[in-house]
Amino acid sequence: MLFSLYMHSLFPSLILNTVNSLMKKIIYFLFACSLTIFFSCKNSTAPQNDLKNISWKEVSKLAKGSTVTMMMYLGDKRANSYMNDFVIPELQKKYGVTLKIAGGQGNIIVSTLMAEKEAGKKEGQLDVCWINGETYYQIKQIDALYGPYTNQLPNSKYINYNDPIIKYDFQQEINGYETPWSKAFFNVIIDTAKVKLPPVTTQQFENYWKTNPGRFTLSLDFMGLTLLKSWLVEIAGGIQELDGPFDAKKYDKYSTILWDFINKNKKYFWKKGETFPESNVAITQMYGTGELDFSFAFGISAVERNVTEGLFPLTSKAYILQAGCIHNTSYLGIPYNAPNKAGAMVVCDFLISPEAQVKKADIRSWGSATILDYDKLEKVYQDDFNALPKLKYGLNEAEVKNKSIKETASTYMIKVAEDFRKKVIELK
Amino acid sequence: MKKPTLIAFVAGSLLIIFAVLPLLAGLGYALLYSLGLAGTLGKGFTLENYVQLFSRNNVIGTFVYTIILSIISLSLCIFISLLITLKFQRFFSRGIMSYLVSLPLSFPAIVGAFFFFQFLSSAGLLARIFYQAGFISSITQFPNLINDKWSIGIIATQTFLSCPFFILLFVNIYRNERINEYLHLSYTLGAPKLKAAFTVAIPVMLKKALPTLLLYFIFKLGAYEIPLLLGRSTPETISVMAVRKLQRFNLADIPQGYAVAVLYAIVVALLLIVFFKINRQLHEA
Repeated sequence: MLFSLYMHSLFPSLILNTVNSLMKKIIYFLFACSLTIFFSCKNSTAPQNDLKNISWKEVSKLAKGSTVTMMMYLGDKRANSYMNDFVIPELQKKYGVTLKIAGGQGNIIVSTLMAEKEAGKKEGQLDVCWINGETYYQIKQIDALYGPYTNQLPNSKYINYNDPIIKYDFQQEINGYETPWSKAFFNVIIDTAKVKLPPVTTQQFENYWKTNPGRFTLSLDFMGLTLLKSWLVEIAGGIQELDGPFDAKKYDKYSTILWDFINKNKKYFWKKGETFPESNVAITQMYGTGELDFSFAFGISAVERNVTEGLFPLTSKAYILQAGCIHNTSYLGIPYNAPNKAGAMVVCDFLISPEAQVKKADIRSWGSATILDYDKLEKVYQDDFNALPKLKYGLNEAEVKNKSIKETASTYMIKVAEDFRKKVIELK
Repeated sequence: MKKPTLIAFVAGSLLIIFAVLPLLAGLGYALLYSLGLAGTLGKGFTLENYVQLFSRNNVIGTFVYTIILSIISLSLCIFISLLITLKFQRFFSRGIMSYLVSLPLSFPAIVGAFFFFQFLSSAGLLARIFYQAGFISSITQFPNLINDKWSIGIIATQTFLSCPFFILLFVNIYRNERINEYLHLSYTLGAPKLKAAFTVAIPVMLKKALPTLLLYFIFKLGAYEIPLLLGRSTPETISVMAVRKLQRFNLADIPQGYAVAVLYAIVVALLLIVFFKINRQLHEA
C-alpha cells in the first residue's frame, strides 16, 4: 500500500529526470522505506472494533451475512472434511456466516501476525486461528490476540474453565483470550507383536534399546520435544515438581540427568543417534514400514485411524508413559486486528456447541476429543456423546483421565529444544 | 554524458523497482532486525544476536559445510558432464537424447529430494532390490545413504539435478567454440586423444563456462529443501539454519535468523565481486 503510494508520487517526475537524479530519488526512497518500516513497528494498533460491551444478540446481528477467514492446519484430511462438509454449511445455514479456510499453523500464524503488527496494519487478513501451546505463548509475547471474549459466547456455559487442562495453555492462563476447541494427550504407539512389554520408565526404555538397537528415534518437532518433556517430568519425580513458571535451577538439575541418559544410550537409536528426523511424519512413516518400533501421537484417534486405513499393523496399541500423559488443549484465537470480530465470535461459539463437538468427537468424522464438561451438558447431549462408537486401538479420554498431566511452562520446551540440539545432537 | 533513450530508461527503472529495490529493502530490514532496531520484540541497538551466533551456534561450521558441499557437488557435476560431453556430445545436439537430458531440469528440488529419499533410504527401493537379490540378509544392513555422515544423499541429488544443465552448457560451448575442429587439428599434429582433451578441449570449455560455474556455485549455496530432507541434524546448511532460527519455538531466535541471512548476503556479495573481477579479466584477455 505504502509502496504504491510512494510509486505514484515518484513516478511522473522520474521520467523527466536524468539517471543521476533517479539514483538520488532511489536513495531517498530507500531511506523513506526503512523509516516507514522502522516507525511502523513502534506503532502498535488498538483493536479497531471492541465488542466487549454489546449483547450476544447484537454480535450475531453484526455477524450475519459476513465472511470469516480462519487459518488452520490443513494436514489432516479428516479435520478438513469435518470443516468443509459439516461446519461450513451449518454456519451458513444457521447464522448466515460464510467461513473461508486458509492453510497455516503455528509459525505461519505467528509470522503473519508479527508481520502485520510490524507493518502497523490495522486490518489484518485473519479472523480466527487455531492455536495452542507455543503459538499462544508467542502470540501473547507480541500481544496480538483480541479479548477477553469467551465469557460472551453462550456455549461457554458447557465448559469448565477451572479445569487446569483448559484454564492453562502451557501454564499460561487463557484469561478469556482463547476458546478451547479440542483436547489431546500425548501417547506412545507400539506394535504389540514386536514390543511385548511396553517400556514406561526411562530404565525400561534403556533395556529395550540395548536389546533392540536401531529401532527407536524421536523427532525434532513438537512431538519429540513432548517425549523429552515427559522424561524430564519422570526424572523430576512428577509434574508437581515442574509445575508453575520456569525454574532454571530445577531445569538444570533434571535436564543434566536427561541429557546424560540420552547421550549414554543414543548409540542404540536409529542411525546410531547421529541424526534425528525433522518431523513426526517421518517417524509415523518409518513405524508404518517397520523400520521403527515406536511412534508417537497426540489425540485419541491417531492410532485408530492409521490402523483402519491400513498404514499401521493391526497389532498396534497406544499406551502412556510413567510420567503420565501430557495433556494439552488446542484453542481458537481472534487476532487483535481481525477485520470481522463479530463473525469470528459466532464461529467460535458454533465450534464449541454440543452439536459441533459431538460430531467432532465421532471417530467416523474427525475423532478429536471434546472440551465440553460432560456433567454440564443436558441429558440429550450426554446421550449423544454416549452413543459414539468406541475405540479399538487407541485410548479414550476416560481411560487416561487420572493419568493426565498439565503441560509445563513454554520456556521448558524452548530450553529442551535448544539444549537437545546443543547437548545431544552437536555433542562431539 | 549520453542521454538514455526512454525505453532503456523505463526498462532500467522497472529493473530497479522490481528487482533491486525489494532486494535492498529486504536486506536493510534483515540488517535492522538482526541489530535489534526492527521487529516487535526489538529492544534497541545490540550486537548480541551476532555474538550469540558465533559463540553458541556453530555458524562458521555451517558456512564451511555449505561451501564444501557446494564445491563437491559442483566438481562432480563438472567432471561427469565434461566426460559425457567429450564422449557423447553428438547424441545431445539433436534427437531424443537432447530432450531426455533436460528431463531432470524440470524436477523441483523438493521432488528430486523425495525421489532420492525413496530410492536410497534404508527401507527404500534400492535397499529392497538388494535384499531381494540376496546381496544383504536384512533391509537394515543397507548402508546409510540418507541423513548420512558424508552427505552422500545430498551430493547425489544435487549432482543428478544439475548435471543436465552442465551437459547442455558444455555441449553448446563445444559446438560454438568449434572444439571438434581444434581436436582434429591436434590429432593431425600427432597429439594422443587424452592429451588433446586435457590440453585443448577441457581448458577452453572451462574457461568459457567459468562465469556460469561461479554463478551456479552461488546459487547452490542457498540450497534448502535437499539438505533439509536428506541431511543430518548437524551440520546444517546456511538456509536450513536460517529457517530453523526464523521459524522455531523461540521468538528470540528470529533476529539470529536475520543475522544468518545478513552474513550469507555478505558472503554472496564477496563472491560476486570475485565473479565480476574474473569476468572482466576474461573479457580483457
